[in-house]
Amino acid sequence: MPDDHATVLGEPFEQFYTRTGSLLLYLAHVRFEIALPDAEALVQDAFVKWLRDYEAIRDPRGWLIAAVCNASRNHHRDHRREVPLPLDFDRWSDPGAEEELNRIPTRLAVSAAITRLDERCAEMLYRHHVDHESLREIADTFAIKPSYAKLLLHLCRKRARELYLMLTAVVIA
Amino acid sequence: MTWHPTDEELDDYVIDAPNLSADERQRIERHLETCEACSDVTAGALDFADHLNEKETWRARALAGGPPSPRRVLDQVEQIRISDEAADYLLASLITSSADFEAAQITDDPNYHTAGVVRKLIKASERKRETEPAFAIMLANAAVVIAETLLTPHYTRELIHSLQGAAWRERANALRYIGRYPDALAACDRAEAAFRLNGITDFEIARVTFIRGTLLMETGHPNEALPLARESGAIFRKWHDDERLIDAGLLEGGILFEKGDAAGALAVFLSLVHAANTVDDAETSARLENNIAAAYQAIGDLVSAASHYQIALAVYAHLGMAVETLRTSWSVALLALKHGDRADGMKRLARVGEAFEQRGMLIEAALVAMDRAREHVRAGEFEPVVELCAHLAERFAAAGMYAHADEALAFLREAAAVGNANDELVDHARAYFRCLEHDPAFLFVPPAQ
Repeated sequence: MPDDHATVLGEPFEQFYTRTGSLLLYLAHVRFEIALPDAEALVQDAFVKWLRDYEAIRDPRGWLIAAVCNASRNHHRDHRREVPLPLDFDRWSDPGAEEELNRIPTRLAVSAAITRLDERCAEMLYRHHVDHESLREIADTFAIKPSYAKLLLHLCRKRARELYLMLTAVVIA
Repeated sequence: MTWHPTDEELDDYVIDAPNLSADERQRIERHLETCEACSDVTAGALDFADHLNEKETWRARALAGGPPSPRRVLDQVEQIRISDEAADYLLASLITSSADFEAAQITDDPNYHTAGVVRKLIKASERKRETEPAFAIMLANAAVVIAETLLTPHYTRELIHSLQGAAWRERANALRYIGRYPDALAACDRAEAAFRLNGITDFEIARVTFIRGTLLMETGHPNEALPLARESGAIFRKWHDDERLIDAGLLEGGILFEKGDAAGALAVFLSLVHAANTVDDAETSARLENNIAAAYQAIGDLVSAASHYQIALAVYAHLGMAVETLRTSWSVALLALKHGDRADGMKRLARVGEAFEQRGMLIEAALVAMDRAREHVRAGEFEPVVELCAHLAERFAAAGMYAHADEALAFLREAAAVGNANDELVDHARAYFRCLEHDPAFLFVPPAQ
């Protein structure tokens, strides 16, 4: 174990851990649909295995992604009755998926932004964007007029985007 | 004053463009073509809406707090560090001398029965493989014995199995260096069995598969080696390990080359160029260029071959890798001969042979001499062959390492002296010198009449 494990390719270890750990958790929990506590354990195990064989691993991020995908597959194999393996389970450790992997940090930031919205706003956006409910259906659920639902949706999206921009703003010292 | 769409109008455009009237949509689109600020806002909003449409974005809300504290990871790192430091302390004076190491009998001493000692022994064996292969085997054997003594609950089962797998794998590698191929293959089996107890870690298993492929190739089983090279390469690719991917690719290409499929080998070698550039390791690039050149040469594209040899040569020379520079110069010389430039090729061969001799690399010098001899007999020039053999015989006698080399040289010299030397005899002698690489006491048997 080298003394300089406090940095990973020049990046402070804790920063690398937070950045890469979030991506790995996303893969295990969101892509492989593994329960969060189990996903956290898989990610930490992957980090420990990596640090144990530090010198033999040339691309820590790529290796950790493959390790978490591998562990997630094994987790599914061991718990196969609980949840099915995602259909595209094998592609995340493929270098060809790099572009898509690069979108995950943005998705995490959008996700963090919507957790800061008030519940009604978040629910309206979910119904509209994911469940594809019409303005009328949303209006009926919330006992408002469709035109008002449209306005609220616009304001909620605007607020979510403001929060996202705030969370991702680069601070210039 | 310039018109800009309002936030709501842009939002409508982003979210619900098909439901806008054609006039409204065209008005906004015409504006976006000329207004960079609104265009940027719209692009950002479109991307943001794409994320909102994805169910995953909403499922990821559980991760808003980021990963759990790295405390557990760092605690384990500390444990590893302490165990490794203790191993450094215990082994520092022992792993420099095989006699001291053997005398210490560390496998009988429980103080040495730690994960750190196993890791340290594996590393030490890796370093000794090239220079002191027998000592490397001793170190790897000790790693195997100690790894097999590690117990739960002090160590997790997963750690014990992964250390056992790594120790057996290192033993396989060390045995390979001294040519104990059957034992090395058996060690590969043990390594794989240990890794499989630890759940299917296909990266670790792929490293074993690669060694097994190399062993099978080196023992003349290219058909069995080929799928192993491909299988390990695919897994290294999945684990983003470009260096090992290149090693596996070089093995695959080497096997195809040996099987006579130079075009297939060339395709494999060329597919590695991108990975080699990513790795940014000059030696790997040079090795790859060398192989690409050899494959071009084999398919008859001598111009491309020359250009790739020149790149390899320049890199090896830049890195100060004298032996590799000589080997590549040798290939360039053979290429010149194949190209019909006999004078240049022979001059180069003479220079390379002399350089090998000066470095005490007599087998290589003899092989180069056989390449020269072949050219001479083809041209009906027998006297230079007699001289080459006599000169080499003196050098082999002075070295005193190869008991029967003089017999091969005497045989060829006598045949040349009476004008009976031909391609077949030269190739027979050449094949004999190849065997000496692995067995210095190899017997020379003249070819059947």
